[in-house]
Amino acid sequence: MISTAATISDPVGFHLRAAGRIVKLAKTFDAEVTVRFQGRVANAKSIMGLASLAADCGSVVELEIDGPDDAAAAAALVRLIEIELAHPEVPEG
Amino acid sequence: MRILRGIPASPGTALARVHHVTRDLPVVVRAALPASDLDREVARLHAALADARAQIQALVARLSADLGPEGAAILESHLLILEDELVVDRAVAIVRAQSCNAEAAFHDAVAEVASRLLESQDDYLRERVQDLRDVEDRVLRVLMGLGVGRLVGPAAPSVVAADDLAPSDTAAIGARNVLAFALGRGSRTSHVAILARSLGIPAVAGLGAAVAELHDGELVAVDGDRGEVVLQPDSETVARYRQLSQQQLTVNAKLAHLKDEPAITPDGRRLHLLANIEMPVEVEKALASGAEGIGLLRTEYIYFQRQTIPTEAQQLEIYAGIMRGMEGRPVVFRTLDVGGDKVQRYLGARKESNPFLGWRGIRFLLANRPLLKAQLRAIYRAAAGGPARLMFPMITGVEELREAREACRECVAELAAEGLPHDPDLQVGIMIETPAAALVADLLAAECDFFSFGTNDLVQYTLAMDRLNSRVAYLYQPVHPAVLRLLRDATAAAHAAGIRVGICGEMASETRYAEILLGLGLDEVSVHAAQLPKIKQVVRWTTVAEAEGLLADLMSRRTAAEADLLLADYLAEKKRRRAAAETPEVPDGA
Repeated sequence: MISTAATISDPVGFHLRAAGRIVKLAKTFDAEVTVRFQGRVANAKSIMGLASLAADCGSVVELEIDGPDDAAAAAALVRLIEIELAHPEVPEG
Repeated sequence: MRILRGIPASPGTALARVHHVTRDLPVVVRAALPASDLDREVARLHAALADARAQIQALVARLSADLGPEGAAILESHLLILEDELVVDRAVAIVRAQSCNAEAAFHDAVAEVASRLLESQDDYLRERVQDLRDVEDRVLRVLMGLGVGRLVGPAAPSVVAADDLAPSDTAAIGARNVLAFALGRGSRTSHVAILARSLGIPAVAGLGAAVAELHDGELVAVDGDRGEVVLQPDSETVARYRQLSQQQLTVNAKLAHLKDEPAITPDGRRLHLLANIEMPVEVEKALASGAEGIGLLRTEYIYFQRQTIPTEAQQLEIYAGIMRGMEGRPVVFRTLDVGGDKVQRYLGARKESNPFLGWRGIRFLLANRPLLKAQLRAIYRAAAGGPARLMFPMITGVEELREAREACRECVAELAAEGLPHDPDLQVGIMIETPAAALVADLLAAECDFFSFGTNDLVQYTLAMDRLNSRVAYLYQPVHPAVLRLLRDATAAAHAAGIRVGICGEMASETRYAEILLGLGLDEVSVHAAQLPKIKQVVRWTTVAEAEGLLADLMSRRTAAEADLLLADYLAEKKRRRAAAETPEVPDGA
């Protein structure tokens, strides 16, 4: 299990769109990902869970990642939350 | 009794019960199931979720090119909600724990998440409950075998209350049984307001959150002239509103006899009075009000009403139907005027920081040639069935006009080559709604067949005021010297070039400005059908000399406030004289 933290770079925080990107990424891993913010807990594979954390831009969320691919998941998720969320999603295809 | 204050959006009064419009959520009936049925119920829920997912995916596939990334992201988040453990796993757990049906379980699961969001301090998050409800609605409809949900209009004469109505919502509700609109958002120039005025339905906009206090079935009084909604009116108020609606009927009856009379001044100047419409159903109303034609057919509704861009054939059918309905009278088709406050995601127009200065009107059309040409071809073909005219919006200079006319020539050449009936000599005109167009009116007049002033935008661009911003709304001053000069000079330029000039903006619909239009020497005035008899009455009472004198007086004033005051005094004096002469009274305002 890996415990780490990430600072949210999306200018509006963990809103639906940002939460959606995190869910989509988290679902590509087998590992369970738990996100904690100000005493609230959410599964990173649940969009409503993440959204209801109401975490703003610049706030630090704790991540707990547990599973066979936890190292890869941790790296990818931290990168997404800290860097990629600040930029608009590149459309697929 | 309590009085809510908003913005007067459409004149008139009404006293009726409230019909609160929200998307009708399917009613969930809770059923207890035997333990042996639970597996099947869970499977039914999963099947419904899969169907709902397929619906949304189909929507994304069809619209993603046009929705833009923002719109697509909204729908994609709905897909994720359908897979969300807080919703789905919870609903399955509820089915098993409570031995209940999938509908009840899904509804409860959504309600639990919604209540979590509603506890948030964050406005954005609280609003996301709407996304949840949207998804819930879709899933419940699949479970219950219902069609896709739409807004429903009132079954009995009512005051329709809503936070906001999109143009397609208003179209879905229709005018049947709608005695008045009471809206949380919007202003005089929002679409519902414009539609309400065209249908002669009183409306109050901008009531804010207070609109939620208008409960279904409660009796309320609406005053569209003062912008008030009275909750729990006392007996005195009820009596007053009953009397007002009686008076309104009398005035309408008095004006109705003018229907077949021409709009001619006592000294013989003829003004052509036409009607503005947005939907084919309004043709009947236009004819009933005595319109000599359609001076402005806004084609936006024809696009916005549907999920996809209407094809040339679909447009032709609608346009030809309108031409037939007008029985040989002229119809001015304005090409699609999107942008500004009319951004439609489906057309690929994105949210802009300055939409009124952005990608709108002719700019949008010229950048979307296939869309422009499909519309032009439909209009040229419809013109085979009567005297149609074509008008381009938001022109700022000769280049845009030339490029638009080039597209027209291409369409005519194509239609001729294809052997399809059309009118190659269709008159092509432009809206004068930017100060630039008004200032180069002489150059534009040399290259088109007619002008029509769009005063909403002309006032807004001239005075650099956003008409949707309530803090600067006071600057909406049609009698500002800058606006009057532009109107005067552009009219003179049109007449010097020998082309016709008219007006189809909001300013034309207000009786208080009618004499100014006459004084300017306009050839045509196009207004909402409901206003037409009132404008006609003013024309029939006012000599050209009188109107020109008024305009000259107004133009000699240095400020809009002075001009407004002068106009008010003039109208009051005129009303007094007329009352003394015991002629029927002109209804106040517009």
